[in-house]
Amino acid sequence: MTIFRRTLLDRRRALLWWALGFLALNLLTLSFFPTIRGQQDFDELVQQMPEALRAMFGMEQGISLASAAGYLWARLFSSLFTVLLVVYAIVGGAGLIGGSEEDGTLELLLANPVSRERVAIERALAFAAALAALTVVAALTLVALAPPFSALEGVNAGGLAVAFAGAFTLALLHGAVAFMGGAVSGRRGPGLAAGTVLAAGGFLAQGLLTAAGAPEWVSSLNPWYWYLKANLLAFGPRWEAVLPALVLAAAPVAAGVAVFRRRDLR
Amino acid sequence: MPDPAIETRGLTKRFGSLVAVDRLDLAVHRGEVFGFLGPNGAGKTTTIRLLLGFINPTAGSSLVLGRPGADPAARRRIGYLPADLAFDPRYTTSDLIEFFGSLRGGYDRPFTEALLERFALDPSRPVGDLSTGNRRKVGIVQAFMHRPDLYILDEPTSGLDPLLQQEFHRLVREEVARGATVFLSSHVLPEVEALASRVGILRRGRLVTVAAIDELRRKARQRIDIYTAGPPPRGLFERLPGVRAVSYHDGGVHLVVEGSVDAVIKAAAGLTVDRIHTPGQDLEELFLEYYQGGDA
Repeated sequence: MTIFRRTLLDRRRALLWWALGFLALNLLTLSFFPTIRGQQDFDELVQQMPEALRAMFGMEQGISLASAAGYLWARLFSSLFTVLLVVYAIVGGAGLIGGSEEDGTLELLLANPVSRERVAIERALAFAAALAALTVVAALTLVALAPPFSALEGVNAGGLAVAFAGAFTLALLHGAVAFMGGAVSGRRGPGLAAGTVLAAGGFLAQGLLTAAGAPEWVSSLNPWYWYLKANLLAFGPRWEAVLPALVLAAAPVAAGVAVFRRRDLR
Repeated sequence: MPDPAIETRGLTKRFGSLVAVDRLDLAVHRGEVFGFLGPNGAGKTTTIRLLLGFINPTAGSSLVLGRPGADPAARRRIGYLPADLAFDPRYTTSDLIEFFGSLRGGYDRPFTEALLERFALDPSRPVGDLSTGNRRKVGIVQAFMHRPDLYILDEPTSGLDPLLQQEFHRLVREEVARGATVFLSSHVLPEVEALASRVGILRRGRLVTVAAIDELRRKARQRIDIYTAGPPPRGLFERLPGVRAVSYHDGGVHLVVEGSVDAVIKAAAGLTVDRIHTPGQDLEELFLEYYQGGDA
C-alpha cells in the first residue's frame, strides 16, 4: 500500500484547503437560513417560478423552501455542495494517471518494481478515500454548525446521512469517468472533458427533463436524477440515491486500468 | 555463461510511418559497460523505453536480466536514470528516497547517505526548488540507491559540471568493479570513451556498428583544418594514407582523416602553418561524417 499512502500524502494539502472551503460553504449557507425561515412570501415567489428552474434548484412542490429540509436541499445538495464535490472528484480523477503522465513523473515511478495496474488501482483507491474524507468533513461541520441556526429542525436524520453518502457516490462516479479519460489517453484534458460532460449534461438534464415531462425511463438514465429526484432531507433515505452510482463507478475504473496496463506511455 | 544482461531480437518500434527503432539485435554482457551511441533522434531513448516496457514493440522482443522489462522482478534489479528527469516538485529528496526505497523493498542506507554527501545534496529541500544540475544529482541518487545489478543511464551527465561528471564517472567505475552492468546511452563521445568497453552505434533506428572502443577509435575519422599563410599547393594531401576527403581554399585546407594523422602532419610541416583546428569531438558531427559515405 506504499502508493496508496503516498497518494494520500501528496493530496493532504489540497484536501485541507477543500475541507476549509466546505466549512465556509456550510457556515455561509447556514447563516442565511434564519432570515428565510418561516417566510411565506418566499414560498409564494418560488411557486411562480417556471418548473424547470424549480427542478434545477431542487425546489419541490409541497416542500417549503423556508423549512430546513427544503432550504438545505435546495442550497446545498441540489447545488453548490454536490457540484463542488463533483468538481473535486473530476479534477483529482483526471490527474491520477493522465496528469502524472503528462507531467512526466509517472515514468520514473513505473521504473520501480511495481505493475501499472497496481499503481492505477492504489491511486484510485487512495483518491476514493480522500473524497470520502472530504465528504465526512463536510457532513460533520454541517451537523456541528447547524444547531445555533435551527437548521436541522424537521430534517430526516437518515435522509441527511444518505444525502451525503449519495453526493459522495455521485462524485465518485464522475471521478471514475475522469480517471478513465486520463488513464486511456495519458493526458489530463480528456479526463477533465469526460467528467465535465457527464456532470454538466447530467445536472442540466435533471432539471430540464423533469420540467419537459420526459418519461420516467429517460430521466432515470441520468445519475443526477437518481440522487436529486426527491428531497432526501424531507422524505428520508432512498437506496437508489447511493448504490447505483457506487456500483457503476467500478466500470470506468476497470476500463481505464485495462487500457492503461497495455498501452504505450506517452 | 549466464544470460546477457540485455538482449534484443529484431526489436522494432514504428510511430506511424516513422521507424524509430529498426530490427535491433543487441546483447549486453553481464559486468560490462556498454556505450549506446548515436546522434539525437537516432532512437536511443526509444530503445530504452522499449527495454523497460514503457512502450510496446511493433515487432521483435527484448529481455532485461532474463525477463521482460515490465516484470517487477526485473525492475527491482535495475537502476534507471532518464534523460528527461521529471519529479513531483513537492517531494524532497528524502521523500523520494523513502518512497522509491519502499517500492523496491529496501535500499542501501549507508551507501545512499554517502552518495548525498558525495554530491553535496541537501535531502530536505523540495526537488522543485533545485537547479537543473541538482535535480540531475537527485536522479543519480535514486538510480543508485538500491545498488542494482543493471544500470540503464540515458545521457546521465547532461547538466552536470565537469567536476561532478568526474565524480559520476568514478561512481560508475566503482559499481562496475562491484560487478554491475551498465548500459550507457549518450551522444557525447568523451563520456563513452571514459567508461565503456564496448560500443554500439545507432543511426536512424538501426544499429550500424558494435565494436570495442579501441577498435572504434582506430576507425573514427577526424576533421583537420589547416590554415596556411598562403594558398596551399593542390595535390599535396590527396594521396596520403588515411586521407578520405580534401577541400582546398585560399587560406588553407580542410581534411577528413581516418586513423593515424601522422602522414598529414608531416606533409603539412613543409608549409607555413598559422593554425591547426580539429573540430568535432562531438559524436554527432564525427559519426555523421563517418557514415555519410555508407549512405551513398
